[in-house]
Amino acid sequence: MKTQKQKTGEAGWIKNKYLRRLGKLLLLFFPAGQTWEILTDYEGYVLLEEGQSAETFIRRWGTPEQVLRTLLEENSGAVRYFGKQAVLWGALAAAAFACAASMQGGIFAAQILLPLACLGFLHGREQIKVEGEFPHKEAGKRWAAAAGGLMFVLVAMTEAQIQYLLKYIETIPPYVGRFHVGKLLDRELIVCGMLALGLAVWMAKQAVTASVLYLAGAVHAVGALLFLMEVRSYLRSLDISALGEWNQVFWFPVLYYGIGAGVSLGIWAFLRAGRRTQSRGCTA
Amino acid sequence: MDAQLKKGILEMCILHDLEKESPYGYDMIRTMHSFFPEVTESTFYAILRRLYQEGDAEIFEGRGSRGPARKYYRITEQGRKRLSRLKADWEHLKRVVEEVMQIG
Repeated sequence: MKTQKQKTGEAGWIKNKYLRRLGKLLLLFFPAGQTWEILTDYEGYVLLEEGQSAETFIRRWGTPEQVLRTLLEENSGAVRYFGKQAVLWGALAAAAFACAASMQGGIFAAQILLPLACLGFLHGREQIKVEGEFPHKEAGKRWAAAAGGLMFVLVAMTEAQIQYLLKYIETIPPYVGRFHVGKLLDRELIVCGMLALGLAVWMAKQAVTASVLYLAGAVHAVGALLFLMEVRSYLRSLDISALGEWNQVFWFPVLYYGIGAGVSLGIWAFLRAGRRTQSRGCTA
Repeated sequence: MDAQLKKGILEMCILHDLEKESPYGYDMIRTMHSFFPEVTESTFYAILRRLYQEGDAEIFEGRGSRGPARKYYRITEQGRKRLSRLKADWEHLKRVVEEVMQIG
Protein backbone atom coordinates (compact mmCIF):
# COMPACT_ATOMS: atom_id res chain seq x y z
CA MET A 1 0.00 0.00 0.00
CA LYS A 2 1.38 3.38 -0.99
CA THR A 3 1.99 5.95 1.70
CA GLN A 4 0.75 9.54 1.44
CA LYS A 5 4.34 10.57 0.74
CA GLN A 6 4.65 8.18 -2.21
CA LYS A 7 1.25 9.07 -3.66
CA THR A 8 1.77 12.82 -3.85
CA GLY A 9 5.50 12.82 -4.54
CA GLU A 10 8.14 14.30 -2.27
CA ALA A 11 7.38 17.93 -3.15
CA GLY A 12 3.64 17.37 -2.76
CA TRP A 13 4.22 15.78 0.59
CA ILE A 14 6.30 18.72 1.80
CA LYS A 15 3.89 21.23 0.38
CA ASN A 16 0.80 19.77 1.93
CA LYS A 17 2.06 18.57 5.28
CA TYR A 18 4.70 21.22 5.92
CA LEU A 19 2.72 24.26 4.79
CA ARG A 20 -0.46 23.09 6.49
CA ARG A 21 1.36 22.71 9.81
CA LEU A 22 3.12 26.04 9.31
CA GLY A 23 -0.17 27.78 8.47
CA LYS A 24 -1.87 26.42 11.57
CA LEU A 25 0.97 27.59 13.79
CA LEU A 26 1.20 31.02 12.16
CA LEU A 27 -2.52 31.70 12.59
CA LEU A 28 -2.07 31.67 16.35
CA PHE A 29 0.49 34.49 16.24
CA PHE A 30 -0.14 36.49 13.08
CA PRO A 31 -3.25 38.09 11.58
CA ALA A 32 -4.72 36.20 8.63
CA GLY A 33 -3.26 38.59 6.02
CA GLN A 34 0.31 38.16 7.28
CA THR A 35 -0.13 34.40 7.65
CA TRP A 36 -1.15 34.09 4.01
CA GLU A 37 1.71 36.32 2.94
CA ILE A 38 4.26 34.10 4.72
CA LEU A 39 2.58 30.91 3.50
CA THR A 40 2.62 32.15 -0.09
CA ASP A 41 6.33 32.92 0.23
CA TYR A 42 7.06 29.48 1.66
CA GLU A 43 4.92 27.80 -0.97
CA GLY A 44 7.10 29.48 -3.57
CA TYR A 45 10.25 28.26 -1.81
CA VAL A 46 8.90 24.70 -1.63
CA LEU A 47 8.14 24.72 -5.34
CA LEU A 48 11.58 26.10 -6.14
CA GLU A 49 13.14 23.35 -4.04
CA GLU A 50 11.32 20.67 -6.04
CA GLY A 51 13.42 17.55 -6.29
CA GLN A 52 14.85 17.98 -2.79
CA SER A 53 13.96 15.37 -0.20
CA ALA A 54 11.73 16.38 2.71
CA GLU A 55 14.66 15.85 5.07
CA THR A 56 16.96 18.16 3.07
CA PHE A 57 14.30 20.84 2.88
CA ILE A 58 13.67 20.69 6.62
CA ARG A 59 17.40 20.71 7.40
CA ARG A 60 17.86 23.88 5.36
CA TRP A 61 14.65 25.73 6.12
CA GLY A 62 13.85 24.28 9.55
CA THR A 63 10.71 22.54 10.80
CA PRO A 64 7.44 24.56 10.86
CA GLU A 65 7.98 25.01 14.61
CA GLN A 66 11.50 26.36 14.04
CA VAL A 67 10.24 28.69 11.31
CA LEU A 68 7.62 30.04 13.68
CA ARG A 69 10.22 30.53 16.44
CA THR A 70 12.50 32.40 14.03
CA LEU A 71 9.68 34.64 12.85
CA LEU A 72 8.67 35.35 16.45
CA GLU A 73 12.23 36.32 17.35
CA GLU A 74 12.14 38.89 14.56
CA ASN A 75 8.63 40.14 15.23
CA SER A 76 7.75 41.23 18.76
CA GLY A 77 4.28 42.31 17.56
CA ALA A 78 3.36 38.67 17.00
CA VAL A 79 3.58 37.80 20.68
CA ARG A 80 1.48 40.87 21.53
CA TYR A 81 -1.09 39.76 18.95
CA PHE A 82 -1.19 36.28 20.51
CA GLY A 83 -1.61 37.87 23.96
CA LYS A 84 -4.52 40.04 22.78
CA GLN A 85 -6.24 37.06 21.19
CA ALA A 86 -5.72 34.97 24.32
CA VAL A 87 -7.22 37.71 26.51
CA LEU A 88 -10.18 38.30 24.19
CA TRP A 89 -11.18 34.68 23.70
CA GLY A 90 -10.08 33.75 27.22
CA ALA A 91 -12.56 36.32 28.55
CA LEU A 92 -15.34 34.64 26.58
CA ALA A 93 -14.25 31.25 27.88
CA ALA A 94 -14.22 32.65 31.44
CA ALA A 95 -17.73 34.03 30.90
CA ALA A 96 -18.80 30.56 29.77
CA PHE A 97 -17.43 28.97 32.95
CA ALA A 98 -19.01 31.73 35.07
CA CYS A 99 -22.38 31.05 33.45
CA ALA A 100 -22.03 27.32 34.08
CA ALA A 101 -21.13 27.89 37.73
CA SER A 102 -23.57 30.62 38.71
CA MET A 103 -26.78 30.40 36.70
CA GLN A 104 -29.50 27.83 36.56
CA GLY A 105 -29.27 26.42 33.06
CA GLY A 106 -25.95 28.22 32.72
CA ILE A 107 -24.37 25.07 31.33
CA PHE A 108 -26.50 25.52 28.24
CA ALA A 109 -25.02 29.00 27.73
CA ALA A 110 -21.55 27.59 28.37
CA GLN A 111 -22.16 24.91 25.75
CA ILE A 112 -22.53 27.71 23.20
CA LEU A 113 -20.00 30.26 24.49
CA LEU A 114 -17.06 27.91 25.09
CA PRO A 115 -17.00 26.45 21.55
CA LEU A 116 -17.27 30.00 20.21
CA ALA A 117 -14.23 31.00 22.27
CA CYS A 118 -12.28 27.99 20.98
CA LEU A 119 -13.33 28.69 17.40
CA GLY A 120 -12.26 32.31 17.74
CA PHE A 121 -8.93 31.53 19.39
CA LEU A 122 -8.05 28.92 16.77
CA HIS A 123 -9.18 31.28 13.95
CA GLY A 124 -11.43 28.50 12.68
CA ARG A 125 -12.50 30.11 9.43
CA GLU A 126 -8.90 30.87 8.43
CA GLN A 127 -7.68 27.46 9.59
CA ILE A 128 -10.15 25.76 7.32
CA LYS A 129 -8.90 27.85 4.40
CA VAL A 130 -5.34 26.69 5.14
CA GLU A 131 -6.57 23.09 5.31
CA GLY A 132 -8.43 23.51 2.02
CA GLU A 133 -5.39 25.04 0.35
CA PHE A 134 -3.05 22.32 1.58
CA PRO A 135 -5.16 19.16 1.84
CA HIS A 136 -3.59 16.30 3.72
CA LYS A 137 -5.44 13.03 4.04
CA GLU A 138 -5.83 11.78 7.58
CA ALA A 139 -7.15 8.45 8.73
CA GLY A 140 -8.37 10.13 11.91
CA LYS A 141 -11.36 11.70 10.19
CA ARG A 142 -13.02 8.31 9.70
CA TRP A 143 -12.50 7.55 13.37
CA ALA A 144 -14.00 10.92 14.26
CA ALA A 145 -17.09 10.23 12.16
CA ALA A 146 -17.40 6.79 13.73
CA ALA A 147 -16.99 8.31 17.19
CA GLY A 148 -19.76 10.83 16.43
CA GLY A 149 -22.06 7.99 15.42
CA LEU A 150 -21.09 6.06 18.54
CA MET A 151 -21.94 9.06 20.74
CA PHE A 152 -25.38 9.29 19.15
CA VAL A 153 -26.02 5.55 19.63
CA LEU A 154 -24.79 5.74 23.22
CA VAL A 155 -27.11 8.62 24.08
CA ALA A 156 -30.11 7.04 22.32
CA MET A 157 -29.53 3.69 24.03
CA THR A 158 -29.08 5.25 27.45
CA GLU A 159 -32.23 7.33 27.11
CA ALA A 160 -34.22 4.32 25.88
CA GLN A 161 -32.85 2.26 28.77
CA ILE A 162 -33.84 4.92 31.33
CA GLN A 163 -37.33 5.35 29.88
CA TYR A 164 -37.81 1.58 29.91
CA LEU A 165 -36.56 1.37 33.47
CA LEU A 166 -38.97 4.06 34.66
CA LYS A 167 -41.91 2.54 32.84
CA TYR A 168 -41.38 -0.98 34.14
CA ILE A 169 -39.59 -0.22 37.40
CA GLU A 170 -42.05 -2.25 39.49
CA THR A 171 -41.55 -5.39 37.45
CA ILE A 172 -37.77 -5.19 37.13
CA PRO A 173 -36.02 -7.41 39.67
CA PRO A 174 -33.50 -5.56 41.89
CA TYR A 175 -30.78 -8.12 41.06
CA VAL A 176 -29.67 -9.73 37.83
CA GLY A 177 -27.78 -12.78 39.05
CA ARG A 178 -25.63 -11.37 41.85
CA PHE A 179 -25.45 -7.88 40.38
CA HIS A 180 -27.61 -5.02 41.65
CA VAL A 181 -29.42 -3.41 38.70
CA GLY A 182 -28.97 0.14 40.00
CA LYS A 183 -25.23 -0.31 40.55
CA LEU A 184 -24.88 -2.01 37.18
CA LEU A 185 -26.55 0.96 35.49
CA ASP A 186 -24.34 3.36 37.45
CA ARG A 187 -21.19 1.55 36.30
CA GLU A 188 -22.48 1.55 32.74
CA LEU A 189 -22.98 5.33 32.89
CA ILE A 190 -19.48 5.82 34.33
CA VAL A 191 -17.90 3.74 31.56
CA CYS A 192 -19.89 5.58 28.86
CA GLY A 193 -18.97 8.90 30.48
CA MET A 194 -15.27 8.01 30.47
CA LEU A 195 -15.55 7.05 26.82
CA ALA A 196 -17.23 10.38 25.97
CA LEU A 197 -14.59 12.28 27.97
CA GLY A 198 -11.76 10.42 26.23
CA LEU A 199 -13.24 11.17 22.83
CA ALA A 200 -13.77 14.84 23.72
CA VAL A 201 -10.12 15.19 24.80
CA TRP A 202 -8.82 13.34 21.72
CA MET A 203 -10.93 15.43 19.37
CA ALA A 204 -9.95 18.69 21.10
CA LYS A 205 -6.29 17.71 20.64
CA GLN A 206 -6.93 16.83 17.01
CA ALA A 207 -8.70 20.19 16.51
CA VAL A 208 -5.45 21.94 17.46
CA THR A 209 -2.98 19.64 15.72
CA ALA A 210 -4.78 18.10 12.73
CA SER A 211 -7.98 19.80 11.57
CA VAL A 212 -10.18 22.43 13.18
CA LEU A 213 -13.19 20.39 12.02
CA TYR A 214 -12.53 18.08 14.97
CA LEU A 215 -13.79 20.88 17.19
CA ALA A 216 -17.31 19.98 16.09
CA GLY A 217 -16.67 16.40 17.21
CA ALA A 218 -15.31 17.57 20.55
CA VAL A 219 -18.40 19.70 21.20
CA HIS A 220 -20.61 16.76 20.28
CA ALA A 221 -18.74 14.45 22.66
CA VAL A 222 -18.97 17.03 25.48
CA GLY A 223 -22.75 17.22 24.87
CA ALA A 224 -22.93 13.43 25.23
CA LEU A 225 -20.76 13.58 28.37
CA LEU A 226 -23.02 16.20 29.99
CA PHE A 227 -26.06 14.11 29.13
CA LEU A 228 -24.54 11.03 30.77
CA MET A 229 -23.47 12.98 33.87
CA GLU A 230 -26.93 14.48 34.23
CA VAL A 231 -28.65 11.10 33.84
CA ARG A 232 -26.36 9.63 36.49
CA SER A 233 -27.04 12.53 38.81
CA TYR A 234 -30.82 12.07 38.39
CA LEU A 235 -30.59 8.33 38.92
CA ARG A 236 -28.63 8.77 42.12
CA SER A 237 -31.31 11.05 43.56
CA LEU A 238 -34.23 9.03 42.20
CA ASP A 239 -37.33 9.07 44.40
CA ILE A 240 -39.45 6.05 43.54
CA SER A 241 -42.56 7.63 45.12
CA ALA A 242 -42.54 10.49 42.63
CA LEU A 243 -42.01 8.45 39.52
CA GLY A 244 -44.68 10.32 37.55
CA GLU A 245 -42.65 13.52 37.75
CA TRP A 246 -39.36 11.78 37.12
CA ASN A 247 -40.74 10.27 33.97
CA GLN A 248 -41.00 13.72 32.47
CA VAL A 249 -37.86 15.08 34.07
CA PHE A 250 -35.82 12.33 32.48
CA TRP A 251 -36.17 13.93 29.09
CA PHE A 252 -34.36 16.98 30.46
CA PRO A 253 -30.76 15.60 30.09
CA VAL A 254 -31.45 15.08 26.39
CA LEU A 255 -31.35 18.87 26.11
CA TYR A 256 -27.62 18.83 26.97
CA TYR A 257 -26.97 16.41 24.17
CA GLY A 258 -29.31 18.27 21.82
CA ILE A 259 -27.52 21.58 22.37
CA GLY A 260 -24.13 19.88 22.02
CA ALA A 261 -25.17 18.20 18.78
CA GLY A 262 -26.77 21.40 17.47
CA VAL A 263 -23.72 23.57 18.22
CA SER A 264 -21.50 20.85 16.76
CA LEU A 265 -23.53 20.82 13.53
CA GLY A 266 -23.46 24.62 13.45
CA ILE A 267 -19.65 24.68 13.79
CA TRP A 268 -19.27 22.01 11.14
CA ALA A 269 -21.52 23.90 8.68
CA PHE A 270 -19.80 27.23 9.44
CA LEU A 271 -16.35 25.75 8.85
CA ARG A 272 -17.31 23.83 5.72
CA ALA A 273 -18.78 26.99 4.22
CA GLY A 274 -15.43 28.73 4.70
CA ARG A 275 -13.48 26.04 2.90
CA ARG A 276 -12.77 27.85 -0.32
CA THR A 277 -9.66 28.44 -2.33
CA GLN A 278 -7.58 31.44 -1.34
CA SER A 279 -6.50 33.72 -4.16
CA ARG A 280 -2.72 33.81 -4.38
CA GLY A 281 -0.41 36.76 -4.60
CA CYS A 282 3.09 36.85 -5.97
CA THR A 283 5.60 34.34 -4.71
CA ALA A 284 8.61 34.43 -2.40
CA MET B 1 28.94 33.18 17.99
CA ASP B 2 26.66 35.23 20.21
CA ALA B 3 23.12 35.20 18.77
CA GLN B 4 22.61 38.96 19.04
CA LEU B 5 25.96 39.74 17.45
CA LYS B 6 25.30 37.27 14.68
CA LYS B 7 21.84 38.76 14.07
CA GLY B 8 23.33 42.22 13.67
CA ILE B 9 25.94 40.92 11.26
CA LEU B 10 23.36 39.04 9.20
CA GLU B 11 21.18 42.13 9.05
CA MET B 12 24.13 44.18 7.80
CA CYS B 13 24.99 41.57 5.16
CA ILE B 14 21.41 41.43 3.91
CA LEU B 15 21.17 45.22 3.69
CA HIS B 16 24.52 45.30 1.91
CA ASP B 17 23.25 42.75 -0.61
CA LEU B 18 20.07 44.76 -1.13
CA GLU B 19 22.12 47.90 -1.71
CA LYS B 20 24.22 46.22 -4.38
CA GLU B 21 21.33 44.78 -6.34
CA SER B 22 17.56 44.20 -6.07
CA PRO B 23 17.45 40.45 -5.71
CA TYR B 24 14.62 37.99 -5.92
CA GLY B 25 13.91 37.02 -2.30
CA TYR B 26 14.67 33.34 -2.78
CA ASP B 27 17.98 34.00 -4.57
CA MET B 28 19.10 36.38 -1.86
CA ILE B 29 18.29 33.85 0.86
CA ARG B 30 20.22 31.14 -1.03
CA THR B 31 23.23 33.40 -1.44
CA MET B 32 23.28 34.30 2.25
CA HIS B 33 22.89 30.65 3.21
CA SER B 34 25.94 29.77 1.11
CA PHE B 35 28.00 32.22 3.23
CA PHE B 36 26.44 31.17 6.55
CA PRO B 37 25.53 27.47 6.08
CA GLU B 38 24.90 26.97 9.80
CA VAL B 39 22.06 29.49 9.71
CA THR B 40 18.72 28.18 8.42
CA GLU B 41 17.26 29.87 5.39
CA SER B 42 14.18 30.72 7.42
CA THR B 43 16.34 32.97 9.60
CA PHE B 44 17.28 35.06 6.55
CA TYR B 45 13.65 35.12 5.48
CA ALA B 46 12.59 36.35 8.93
CA ILE B 47 15.23 39.11 8.94
CA LEU B 48 14.32 40.16 5.40
CA ARG B 49 10.67 40.29 6.40
CA ARG B 50 11.45 42.42 9.45
CA LEU B 51 13.55 44.81 7.37
CA TYR B 52 10.60 45.17 5.01
CA GLN B 53 8.14 45.73 7.88
CA GLU B 54 10.40 48.31 9.48
CA GLY B 55 10.72 50.20 6.21
CA ASP B 56 14.40 49.44 5.52
CA ALA B 57 13.52 47.41 2.44
CA GLU B 58 10.70 47.50 -0.05
CA ILE B 59 9.13 44.92 -2.29
CA PHE B 60 8.34 45.18 -5.94
CA GLU B 61 6.85 42.59 -8.18
CA GLY B 62 8.67 41.24 -11.16
CA ARG B 63 7.97 38.44 -13.55
CA GLY B 64 10.43 35.72 -14.50
CA SER B 65 10.50 34.02 -17.89
CA ARG B 66 7.65 31.81 -16.70
CA GLY B 67 5.57 31.21 -13.62
CA PRO B 68 3.81 33.59 -11.25
CA ALA B 69 4.90 37.10 -10.28
CA ARG B 70 7.91 37.16 -7.97
CA LYS B 71 8.83 39.35 -5.04
CA TYR B 72 12.00 41.37 -5.46
CA TYR B 73 13.52 43.43 -2.68
CA ARG B 74 15.35 46.74 -2.75
CA ILE B 75 16.81 48.93 -0.06
CA THR B 76 15.06 52.18 0.93
CA GLU B 77 16.63 55.48 1.97
CA GLN B 78 15.97 54.57 5.60
CA GLY B 79 17.65 51.20 4.98
CA ARG B 80 20.72 52.93 3.52
CA LYS B 81 21.06 55.05 6.68
CA ARG B 82 20.72 51.98 8.83
CA LEU B 83 23.32 50.15 6.77
CA SER B 84 25.79 53.03 7.17
CA ARG B 85 25.22 52.96 10.94
CA LEU B 86 25.68 49.20 11.07
CA LYS B 87 28.84 49.41 8.97
CA ALA B 88 30.24 52.16 11.19
CA ASP B 89 29.47 50.08 14.30
CA TRP B 90 31.11 47.08 12.69
CA GLU B 91 34.26 49.00 11.75
CA HIS B 92 34.46 50.40 15.27
CA LEU B 93 34.02 46.98 16.83
CA LYS B 94 36.62 45.47 14.49
CA ARG B 95 39.12 48.20 15.37
CA VAL B 96 38.57 47.82 19.10
CA VAL B 97 38.89 44.04 18.96
CA GLU B 98 42.09 44.29 16.90
CA GLU B 99 43.56 46.73 19.43
CA VAL B 100 42.65 44.43 22.32
CA MET B 101 44.24 41.50 20.50
CA GLN B 102 47.44 43.45 19.87
CA ILE B 103 47.73 44.35 23.57
CA GLY B 104 47.07 40.70 24.52
